Amino acid sequence: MLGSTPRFLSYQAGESILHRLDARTKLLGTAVVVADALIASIPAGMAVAYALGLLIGLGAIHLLPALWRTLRPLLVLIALFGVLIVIITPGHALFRVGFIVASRPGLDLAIQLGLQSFLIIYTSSLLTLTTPPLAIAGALDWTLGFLRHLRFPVQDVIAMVAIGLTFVPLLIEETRKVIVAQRARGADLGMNAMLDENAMAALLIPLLLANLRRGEELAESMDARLYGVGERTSLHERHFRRDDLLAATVLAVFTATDVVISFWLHP
Amino acid sequence: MPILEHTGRQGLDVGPGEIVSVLGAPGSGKTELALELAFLKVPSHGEVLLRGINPLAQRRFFQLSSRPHDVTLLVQNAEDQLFARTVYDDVAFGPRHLGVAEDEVERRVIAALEAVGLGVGVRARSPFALSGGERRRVALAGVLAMEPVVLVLDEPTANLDPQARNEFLRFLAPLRGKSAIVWLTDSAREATLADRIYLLQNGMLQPVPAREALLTDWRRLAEAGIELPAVFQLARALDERGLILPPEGTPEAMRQAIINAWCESHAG
Repeated sequence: MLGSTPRFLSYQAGESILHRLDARTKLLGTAVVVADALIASIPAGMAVAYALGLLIGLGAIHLLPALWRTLRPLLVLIALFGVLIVIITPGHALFRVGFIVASRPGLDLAIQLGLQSFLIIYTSSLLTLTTPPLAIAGALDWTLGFLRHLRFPVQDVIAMVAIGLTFVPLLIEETRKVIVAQRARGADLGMNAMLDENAMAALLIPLLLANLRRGEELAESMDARLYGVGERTSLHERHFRRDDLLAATVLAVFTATDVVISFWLHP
Repeated sequence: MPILEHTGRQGLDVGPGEIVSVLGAPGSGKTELALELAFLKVPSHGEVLLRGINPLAQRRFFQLSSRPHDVTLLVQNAEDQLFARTVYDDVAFGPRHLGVAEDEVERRVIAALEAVGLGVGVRARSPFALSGGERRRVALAGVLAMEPVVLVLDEPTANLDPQARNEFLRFLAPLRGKSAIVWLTDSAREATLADRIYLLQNGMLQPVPAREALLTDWRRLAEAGIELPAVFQLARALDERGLILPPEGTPEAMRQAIINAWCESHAG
């Protein structure tokens, strides 16, 4: 269990097409794919959405094996929720095992939600894998900038998002350290620990405390370096290039196809 | 026969009741070695044997972990890992996980807290109400109360106040002569408190032939990146400036040698 935790969601430096795209393109593109997945009809619309997802994946093909390993455990979770949905949704019974009834609408819903959630997680993982946290923050700033006119503290919220994204690997590292320390004290932090309140406390309390402490130290050091004084500017200028135009075209074509198919041809 | 043996990294062994220290500069791989010795990490070279067998190789199907529970590790900055409501419960966490009966747990907790110099008063207090140094001692009491066959200490005195540093060996009293102790440190002075010493350099271990020889062989220590006692730092600086000094010696002998050499060079 130790040492095998994949660096979930964290940025991997590289030279792929996805790496080269402007962060704003990727951010908006991810939002578009999410929308595509949500409106897609089963099966035709979803096939279009998945084809788009596959095409995007080809833009960073060398990351796909690692991404697959990271997402595999999620499939199990999605499958478990799927089974639950099949069982608890009322409707025309497909079959029954004892008192458990599997319903037809439940099965449809489970398939739809399963496909949607996998595509959404897959696409957003590609975004965070190929985009440095600060670039995502910059893109968010550009996208949500209009909220500033409504006196919404966009910059601060984005700084929080950026810090949060940056600290994910550190959090994983920290978790590993606590697991090692508590195992050394005889705790068994395996699957059965999930059900043991004491074992969870042994894991969560040191983690929570470490994070609170780190947050406080970070806030103090940011204050010490005059964070929030004056207007924030950006070190890197952002440019849309031809690749971005191409990506936008591909997204638009697939989305249009998805809409036409899902709402008119095969709803 | 050694109770614990590392066959990789050119070898380390520790006998029952023995204190062995591993002296390594910061960044020499002490923490990794500690995890290997406590069966929390599989060594990349060689294997770690407990009573002559590798427990990790004995792993059976359906068994989550075959980590032996009589080997324990006090991690670096162990005070960060406390979590229970009271000091008592935190110290009792280990023994309870070993399945020790509650009256025996109580005896061990009281003995361990006494050994680390924390009075009766702290037992019912929250560990978070204590100072950093006191919390470290609570964490140490937690591993003492497990009465392990092998205890690995990863820089147990880092960030402690000088007095607690000097007294640290006394804190281990309940285990003395019973448990094998591996003490990883970057302080040459602390290392000499052990029965035997290994020098860790680039992840490789080398036994130091005689305990007394450690401080006298200061050129070797300097090469391994260990911070030297002040008198040797002075000797080194004078050495570089051409003052002729004996190649090795105890700190006292070195002090005298420096004085003599200085007087001679100024008398003439």
